[in-house]
Amino acid sequence: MGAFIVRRLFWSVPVLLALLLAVFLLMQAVPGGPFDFAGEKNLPASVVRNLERKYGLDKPLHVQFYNYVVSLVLHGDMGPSFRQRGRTVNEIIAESLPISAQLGIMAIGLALIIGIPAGIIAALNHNTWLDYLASFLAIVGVSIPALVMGPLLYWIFALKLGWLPVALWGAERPFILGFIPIPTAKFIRHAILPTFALGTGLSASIARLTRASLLQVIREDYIRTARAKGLRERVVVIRHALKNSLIPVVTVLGPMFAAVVTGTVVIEAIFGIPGMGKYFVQSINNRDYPLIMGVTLVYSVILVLSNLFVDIAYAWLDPRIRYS
Amino acid sequence: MAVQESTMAVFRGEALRKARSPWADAWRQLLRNRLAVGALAFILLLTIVAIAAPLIAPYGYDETHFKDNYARPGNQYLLGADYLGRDLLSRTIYGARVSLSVAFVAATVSLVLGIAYGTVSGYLGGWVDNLMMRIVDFLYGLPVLIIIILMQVYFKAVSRRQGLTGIMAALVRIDTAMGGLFFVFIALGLVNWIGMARIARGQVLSYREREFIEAARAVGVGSLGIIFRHLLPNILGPCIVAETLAIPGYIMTEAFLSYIGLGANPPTPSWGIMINEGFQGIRSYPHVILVPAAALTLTVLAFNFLGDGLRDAFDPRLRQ
Repeated sequence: MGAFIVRRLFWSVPVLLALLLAVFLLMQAVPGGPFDFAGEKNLPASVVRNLERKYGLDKPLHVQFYNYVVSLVLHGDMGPSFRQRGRTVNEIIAESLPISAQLGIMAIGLALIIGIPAGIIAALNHNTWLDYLASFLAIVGVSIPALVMGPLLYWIFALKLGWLPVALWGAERPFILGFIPIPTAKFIRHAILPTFALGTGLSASIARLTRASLLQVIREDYIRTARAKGLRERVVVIRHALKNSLIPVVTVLGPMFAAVVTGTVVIEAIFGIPGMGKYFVQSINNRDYPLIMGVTLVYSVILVLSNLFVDIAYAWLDPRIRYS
Repeated sequence: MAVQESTMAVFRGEALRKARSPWADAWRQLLRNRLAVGALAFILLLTIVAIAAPLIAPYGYDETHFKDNYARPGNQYLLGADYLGRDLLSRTIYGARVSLSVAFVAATVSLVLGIAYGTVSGYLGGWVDNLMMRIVDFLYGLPVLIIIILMQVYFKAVSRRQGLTGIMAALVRIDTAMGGLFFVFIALGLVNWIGMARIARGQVLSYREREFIEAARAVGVGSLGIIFRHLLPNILGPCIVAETLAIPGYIMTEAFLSYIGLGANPPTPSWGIMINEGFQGIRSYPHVILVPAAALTLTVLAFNFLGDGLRDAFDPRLRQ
């Protein structure tokens, strides 16, 4: 297993470089540059040229990319932001990623807590009203886009009922281990609405996956064997069927984790959360090249790592899966 | 004698039952699923409404009545009006054109590209297959959100440029005529054929070595004949099912892009733009966001029900 992990990490390096290169080229192909506008006015061409020289944008593309990779690998430096003057991409990400990660992890936690039991209940009561109800709710859940779920919860619980705050994030620094917030009442009150807005859709898709997968696993021979041994139904399901049936769930958890932990554009915009999501759009609109690269890198690294965890989880969930 | 006749009848029935094509079989199965039939009816109705929008909508989608801004639902505006006094019902009806055309066009593009790529890859096999699939693997790893935003920003920046010539100018003209949707189609199509290519290839691989393909080859059918006459009809069902299940994603992506200002160009009434505009005034005028939000959710729901129904209908294991 150790060798497997090392090999996977080793191979992820060229893949990440290729991804970065692809985004680098695409981003350079977009018309317009980072210094086209300064506030309201256009900058004089001479100023733009000087700025471009200062940030090395006058060099050929392959030199720019090489320089970027070298300072990234040697110093872990993702460069200065072109738009937020005086701030580095490292600072911007260090500030916003933990907040997105807090929201994303809580949303995934909620999704697992609701989704897996709901899927199990539906599968164990296959073709009964409980199954139909759970399946119906799940399909409704996956059909409500974040664009709708966010404003809906916002309107009901923050505006109409006034139970929860309308905006902002209540976590206070410093965070434990860099991202775990101290669970104050303020933090929880601010976190409830965005967590549900993000988590309900996820929980519905997890419930659907769990149900479908469990229904398949339950028909397998080894489950019949377990029943034939006289094991109680609860033990058969939890000890024998569930673990195996979680494989499709874990498979989607990898990309899902990377997507929500790096920030969701819509939910963070609606609830005024200072996370990383907005930079996915802002950096590209502003042609803030180092920030685009930084956001891509963070997302891709998290995706690679979570997919690695997925593969490790496979081996634990299904002992028939072996890596050499 | 009588016994023999009834036996014959049974065999004849059996033969008839076998003669039914898998498509007819799936169709009958689908009709037994009330939710899927309801969803299909809803989508057909919405399509008719979208096509006949100028006849049904009481006002034009960009018709402003500034004295009636934020009008409540009532006699004059059935579902109220937005911040420019535009009728919400009319805008929602025209908005159906946006969402449905995205659903159908993006699905068709991704289906055609994906099946073509996957079929070629799976059929040829060997190093070609290997190379084609490694390309797909790489594209699959690209961060879709960033790529799609980059593409949209690229298209938007290009269409604002003066003095374009050649193909790009023609594309920009088409896009402007379609209210900014053409480039959304292209971006969605370019990103989403990848998954379909994998599915199609998997299907081709599972049929390629079957006896009936071998038989066709033995009687001298060429590669194109085998692909079009024997492979495609078999793999089309699962591919269409997978594509239908992907449609809600296209509709939501378009709404999202329009919401962040990178999709349809105002005043084209995309439901995403309407939700964005409605959210600005949600404190005092919640009815403005309610209408497009409900339309978007119901449409996505209908495609999900239909997709689920189709999947069940094409899956023989689920039949009693």
